[in-house]
Amino acid sequence: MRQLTEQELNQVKNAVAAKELISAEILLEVYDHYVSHLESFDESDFEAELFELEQKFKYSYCHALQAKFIKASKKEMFNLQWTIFKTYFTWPRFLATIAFLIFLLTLWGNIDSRTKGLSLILPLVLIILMTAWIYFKSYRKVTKIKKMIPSHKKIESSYLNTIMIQLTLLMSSFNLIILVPKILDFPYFLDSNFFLVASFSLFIIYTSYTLTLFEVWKIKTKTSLI
Amino acid sequence: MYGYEITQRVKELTAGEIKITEGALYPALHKLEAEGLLSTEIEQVDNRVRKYYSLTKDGQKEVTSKMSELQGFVENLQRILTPDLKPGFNI
Repeated sequence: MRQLTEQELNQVKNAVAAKELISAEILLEVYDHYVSHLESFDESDFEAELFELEQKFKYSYCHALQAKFIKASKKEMFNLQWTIFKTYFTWPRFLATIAFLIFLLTLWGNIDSRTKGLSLILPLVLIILMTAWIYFKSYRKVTKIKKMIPSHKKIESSYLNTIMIQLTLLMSSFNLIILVPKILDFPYFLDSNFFLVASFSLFIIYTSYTLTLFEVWKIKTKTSLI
Repeated sequence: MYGYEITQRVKELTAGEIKITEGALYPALHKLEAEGLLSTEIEQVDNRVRKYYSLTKDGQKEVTSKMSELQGFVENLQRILTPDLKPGFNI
């Protein structure tokens, strides 16, 4: 086992950067694999071993690995959020869930339709603030990798990408169900049953999403780049 | 253990008879991580970041279950191929 020279490390960095990967998790893993492998060979074998690694970690292989990882990270995030969501209906959290739903139903019955629509903005603002915080934390972690392997591609955590996609979906649902009919000025929209059901459902979805996302982030931040 | 270490450890333990290719290793690790059977930890090592994998409780249960499944399969094969031999083949 030896330490690679600066020149050798640069050669490795260039080889890895040429793969044009965007997932920080895959990039760090491929780079670590290269360096760990090359460190166990003499300086005279460096070129031959690097060539051998290049044959194994071809551009297409790395991109397939990245695509599979992004898919797996989406699945993992969704599964974690779903698992956490289910715990809201198990003892002892169930009591808190019941209390929250009772509070929400009471509140919903006593506020006017316009306030109901506006109250949806509160969890949305919380989600945006939380996402911005997660983005900032992830950015700081990924910056170290970006400095290590300079690439012209936008490198970010695959988990962050998943959160951003979900955030876009939430914003789209708000626009679609609440803002679009309002903009189109549908008559009696605010008093319609559609609005009442949609705003109540969305409030529950947004609140659950915020809480589960926070818990997932707490779990994943210790072990990943978010 | 980290990715490269796993390939080397398997090679060492099996005297080179089993070689895990990188093409198979990383997708499998990522899949097991997504399924909650592996947990990961990211650490700074010699100016680079390294990802360590370890079995979760669910992962350990799965290993035990798969090993006993494999043992049962080998015992059944043994019964079919050599019916006179007493069962109890251990892996």
